[in-house]
Amino acid sequence: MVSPDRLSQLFKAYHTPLVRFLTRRLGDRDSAEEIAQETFVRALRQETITSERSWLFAVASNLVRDETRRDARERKRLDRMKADADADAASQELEPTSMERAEEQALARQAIEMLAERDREALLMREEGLGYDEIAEALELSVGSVGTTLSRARRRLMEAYEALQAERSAKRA
Amino acid sequence: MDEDWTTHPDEGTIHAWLDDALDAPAAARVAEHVRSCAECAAAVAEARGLIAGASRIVASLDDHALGARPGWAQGAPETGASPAAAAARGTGNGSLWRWLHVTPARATIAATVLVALGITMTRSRTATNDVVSPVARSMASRAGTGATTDSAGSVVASAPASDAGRDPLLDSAIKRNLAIAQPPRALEPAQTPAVPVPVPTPGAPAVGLAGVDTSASTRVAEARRATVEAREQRVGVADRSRVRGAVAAAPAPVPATGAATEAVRGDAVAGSANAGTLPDRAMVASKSLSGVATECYLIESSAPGVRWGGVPLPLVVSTDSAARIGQAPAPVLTTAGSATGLSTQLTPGAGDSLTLRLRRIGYMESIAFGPDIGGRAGFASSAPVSQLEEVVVARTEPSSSYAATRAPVRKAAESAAAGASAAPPKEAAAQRSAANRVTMRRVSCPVR
Repeated sequence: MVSPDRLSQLFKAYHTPLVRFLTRRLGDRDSAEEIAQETFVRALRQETITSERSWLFAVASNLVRDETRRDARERKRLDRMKADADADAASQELEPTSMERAEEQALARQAIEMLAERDREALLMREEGLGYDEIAEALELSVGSVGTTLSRARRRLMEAYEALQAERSAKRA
Repeated sequence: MDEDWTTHPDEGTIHAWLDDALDAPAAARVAEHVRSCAECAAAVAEARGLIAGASRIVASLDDHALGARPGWAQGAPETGASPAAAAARGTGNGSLWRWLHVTPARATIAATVLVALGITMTRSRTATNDVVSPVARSMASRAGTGATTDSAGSVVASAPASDAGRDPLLDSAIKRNLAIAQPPRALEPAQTPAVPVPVPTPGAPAVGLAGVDTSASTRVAEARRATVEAREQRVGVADRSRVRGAVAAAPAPVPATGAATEAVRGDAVAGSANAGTLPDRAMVASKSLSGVATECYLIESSAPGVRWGGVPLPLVVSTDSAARIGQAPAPVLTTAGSATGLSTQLTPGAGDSLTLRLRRIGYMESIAFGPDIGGRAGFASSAPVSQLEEVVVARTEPSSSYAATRAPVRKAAESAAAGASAAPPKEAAAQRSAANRVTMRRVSCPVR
């Protein structure tokens, strides 16, 4: 079992990147906080952790996976995001920068959601600084396939994003 | 990863190479191949773009409150790619403003708050210095340290050397502001005369070279005389009341003897007694003498047989406003109000002294009085006009002890020797040496 002191060190070192990773993954800060908390609770129950960061991100990814299976909750969250985005667009008419940023964020969210589960997680982990070996360990992949996974994720993300941008431009036109 | 480097590296290997995930030999082989293979070089360029684009899209998901820096940019404590590797990947988020969560609106608000705070602090410090400056000046003048005057003429309280709490930058700023608010005053010659030069016209009052009306001094003297008369009129009423009260209720401050004194006193008492029902006789008498306010002074002596101008004392000098300032002779009356044919010249002197000069043919008689303390005391002297006497009144004792010191100045007299009516030498010497103590006090003018 991880000692409280070691857990405190883990929390100080990885809580922020883990929450960021989960927020990017889920699009909801509250859910990200909850899952991060659950991740560290599970770490406390763990007897030994060899690769701490990959273990934490792997557990968090599994928890997200479990979370996203709850369709009703997911739809509700998406509906809330849509309502928030609409409210922001209505109330921030005098702040085009914020509105453009909100639109860009919505496009990015949609593009991320269009990726495969593993590609998305690999990409987000890499963006959080995990190494190829850590990503491989977290996602139970071979190290040699991480590069291929990441290259595919990046290419598909860019293609999805550009497609969404083109679609938005077509709607405006 | 594909270890076969004889062919082109696949896309995954290129991404791993750009992510610095290959070991050193594999990375060297890829680098060598990319340098010699244009197709792979293009693939590398495309991969760089994908990495940068994907990182930008992922970063756009971040909430402002959480920050946008990826984990590797935060310096992972244990593992993670180095910043150099991140730079190589082109995924670095170099925006300091974004890292500080500063938006234009927040920056504007912060700047406004800072400016307002600065203005408030400057004004409070300036107001404190304004309040403290007079005190600082006085204390500094006592202590011999602080207040100085700058080039602009503004007094600036300088801090003592031991005052380490003062901000020299703030002090210099305040000094500059004071210099701006109180610019140095420069003396420059006037472009136009201060008094315009009038064009001389026939019949106009005389005007001097400088454009000043030369008749102004005359008008000023007239106005001053009128002012003095008005003041003396006011004082005269009070003096009359005071003299009447003093005569009726108490002995005169200066010893007075003789029947004439009693007559005048009785007259004053009678006037005072009838003051409630009849017009003031003194006032009537004063107005009857001339058109202006008239004041009468009783001159008497305690010594018997004292004469002035050949007329025995006591006598009454009736003065109007012109006579009181020495610009007109004052007639000398008897206590009954009869004319004596004499007139005297009143000459006010220094220290409220007064000299009465009586010119009679062949004689110059004068009385020098000390200050008026409810009455005047002095000495009467008489001498032929062959001798000019100058009497100096000196204060030696209070009240009646004012003594007049004679300082005869002898001059050659053309008419003394030839005057048939001149007194014999012995008589002249006796008269010259005669200096009798006399008193003068104000009384109601006798009714003629």
